[in-house]
Amino acid sequence: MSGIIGSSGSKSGVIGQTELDYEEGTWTPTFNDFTNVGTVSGRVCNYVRIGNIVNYWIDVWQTNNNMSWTTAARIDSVPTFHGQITSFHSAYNGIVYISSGVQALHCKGYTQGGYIYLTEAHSTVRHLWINGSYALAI
Amino acid sequence: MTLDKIEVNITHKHFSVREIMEDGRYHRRTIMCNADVSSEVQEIQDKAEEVWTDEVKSAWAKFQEEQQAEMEAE
Repeated sequence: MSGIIGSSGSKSGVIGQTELDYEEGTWTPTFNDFTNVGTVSGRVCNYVRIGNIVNYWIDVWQTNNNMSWTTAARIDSVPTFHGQITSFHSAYNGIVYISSGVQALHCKGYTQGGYIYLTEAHSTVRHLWINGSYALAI
Repeated sequence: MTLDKIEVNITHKHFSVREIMEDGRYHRRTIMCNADVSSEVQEIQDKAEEVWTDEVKSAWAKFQEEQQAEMEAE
């Protein structure tokens, strides 16, 4: 077994006889029902697709510790690709840094729709990190 | 950023737009089928006119309502 992954942004990948789709890049999340949403500029909002698996990261930072959102706030524009998404509810892990420290973030994704729900309201948030993945049926 | 390609998602006809940044890296964004695309490049506007029928928009609105109701019930 061998693997060759090309340079950033290229489509390459050879493992044995099978060619895998490979793509990496950045993306721009959009926020609904957030107040004083922080910046993603200079942060890590990246994605990597390997074959039919897509992984992506969200990193939002607010200088004044005053970012907040309501229950069922949404993060839209999750990077999607041509193809049926098999994972209706997909996996997400998240944490927030608020004035009293780091807390786990409960979130739930509907990648078929290209968005993530945050299932709990939070306030006085300085930093929000989420990583997620889903599978494509190709 | 330069438009590279527009992929149409099967389920809700969202556009997965891939662009190439000045440093050569890819950038992706998803444009949902109820979005205002009037400020987008002509190619995206034309694709929206072609693909986003009233039926597609209605199905997306219904899907969102169902998901919202499910969220509130949990």
